[in-house]
Amino acid sequence: MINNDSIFEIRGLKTQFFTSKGVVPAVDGVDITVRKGEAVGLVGESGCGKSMTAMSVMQLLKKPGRVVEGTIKLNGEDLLKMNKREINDIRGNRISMIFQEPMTALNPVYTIGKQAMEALMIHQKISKEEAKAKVIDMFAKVGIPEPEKRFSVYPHQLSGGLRQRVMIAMAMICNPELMIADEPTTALDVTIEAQILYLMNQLQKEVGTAVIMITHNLGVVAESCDYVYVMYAGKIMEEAPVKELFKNPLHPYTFGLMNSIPKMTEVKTHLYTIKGMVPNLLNLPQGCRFCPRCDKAMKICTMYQPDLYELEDGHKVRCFLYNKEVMESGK
Amino acid sequence: MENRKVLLETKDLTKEFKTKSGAWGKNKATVHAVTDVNLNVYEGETLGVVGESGCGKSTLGRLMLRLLDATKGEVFFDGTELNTLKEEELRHMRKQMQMVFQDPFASLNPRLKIKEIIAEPMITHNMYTGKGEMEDRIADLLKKTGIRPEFMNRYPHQFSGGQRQRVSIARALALNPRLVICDEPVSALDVSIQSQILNLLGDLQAEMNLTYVFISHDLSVVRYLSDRVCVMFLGKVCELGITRDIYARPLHPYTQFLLEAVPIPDPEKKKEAKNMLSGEIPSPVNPPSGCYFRTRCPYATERCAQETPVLREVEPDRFVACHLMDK
Repeated sequence: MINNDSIFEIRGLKTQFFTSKGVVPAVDGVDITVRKGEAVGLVGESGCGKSMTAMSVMQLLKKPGRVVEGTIKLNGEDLLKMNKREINDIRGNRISMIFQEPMTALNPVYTIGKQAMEALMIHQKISKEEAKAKVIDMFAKVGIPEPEKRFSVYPHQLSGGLRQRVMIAMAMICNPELMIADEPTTALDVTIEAQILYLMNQLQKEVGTAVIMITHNLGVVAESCDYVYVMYAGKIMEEAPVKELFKNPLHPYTFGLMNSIPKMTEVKTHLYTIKGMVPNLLNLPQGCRFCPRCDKAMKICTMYQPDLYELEDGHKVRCFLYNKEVMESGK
Repeated sequence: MENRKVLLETKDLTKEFKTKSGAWGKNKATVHAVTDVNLNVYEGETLGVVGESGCGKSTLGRLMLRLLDATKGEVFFDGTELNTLKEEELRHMRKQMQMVFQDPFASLNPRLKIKEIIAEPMITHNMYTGKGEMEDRIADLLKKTGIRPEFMNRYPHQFSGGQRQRVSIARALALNPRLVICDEPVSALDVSIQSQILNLLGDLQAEMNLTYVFISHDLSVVRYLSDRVCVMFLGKVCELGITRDIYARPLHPYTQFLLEAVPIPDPEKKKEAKNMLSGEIPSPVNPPSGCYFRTRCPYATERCAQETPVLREVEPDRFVACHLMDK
């Protein structure tokens, strides 16, 4: 699965919100690489900046939010340097997005067929009839029963699971190189969640689309991603291939996150907890952002921000515990 | 199990909602939210109630406290039937049973200080006459639930989601209840906060000898907290038993699929192909004949369409409603 031809690269992305209370650094120097056909997970708790990273890529940020620094390159072309028309050519065509709430992401006054045709009609010079045929094909592919009949149905007539299938059909219809899925199964029941994850997996293999899966659910990551980034308070804290990360979580935050979820297979009398709560982005600690909640915090952690250190096996972690110089100098 | 004391018992508990839609409400329909539920809740245990959205688990919780009036059936709390009680008697009874709701943002009045929120049930039930006495008690409750007592003069918006849920728990415990119904108490919280609240609920139960009915869609959370678990589908109980046994060896097909569907946070255990349920959850307005699950069940036979399976004890402490158990 792992190959070296990266198709999508985010480098040094900084997205900030200029509010009356101060500047909120929602995304603070994020690097993400996606290789062809790969599924990349972006995990974190609410407010860690994972959705804002996606919105920055799609250039859907609302005021007072703005990308202040960095590059977002799709096959070498920097999206941030493009004008509106060039972005519109890419959005929904070469990069598409699935949102969390299938209830609100679809337009209630148009039929699902018409909405799905929109992307095709804009991006590909084809006739209405061709577009309709393609949409019906796609609906069948994503497992919508009776696609011809459902073509002229309104979103409210469908269940949550079917609406999410419509969203996936819309996102996949132009065969995008990259699909960003922001909590695509969070609003769904478990049996439906399993169906949707399976479907996304199948389509990804078939079409070769790369996926960025944004989620807070470690189970979803384990089952559907090849490579994982863990995000906390606007920064990437750790990144590794999925098996390596789950086997060997290095950052105290990742370790805490994995051990604080109850497991189906084991019974414990007490769950591990990460003390305290996520910091206010307007009032961040001076040193490491996780430091006030960390069991292993050292003196240096309160003073300086650690870099993302790369270990020998390629596993990367933003923590002084893995910096040889710091550890040898005796804290 | 026999020597344990039954704290709450439901008999054939049923709730139907009448709905109207269309112009002037000409399309009338009946939603079968909860149908013929027979359950015992034993003193000191945690009974987990799991199921997907619309399966009636929240309605069941509300029926247990008579926050909703049942269409049919009875609820006995410590031997007293709740539906026959008069308003005044019921209020008296409610001292012993409290509820923690899902959304800590909606369930706390934003105009009250948290000390007033926690005092409200105690004032309603005339628990204290002196103001100082009551404040001591509030400080004590806040300490117990992990909030600094100095914060009692703050308003809900000054707290995070996890802290608000702690306030809701403090309020539920203010009257020293015996039974607490927790309706999805951690599903609105982040993972790292969720474990704090789950540990708190566990500690409080041991300390105050509480009985919990824990309603949740999250099977891992239910596994962690419950002694017994009740699996619901479309308003009916399909399986009931000791948590450990059910998770190790689910008998009802629905329970099997439900457990299999949960994503496991371990990529080494990832299966290439899961056994998945096809189709959608049928509508509670127009449930299928016979077994409600049969339209999604791969093992369904002719008999499942004609005859409704009854929940019966198939082995000690294990109840299943499925015709397959007859073989």
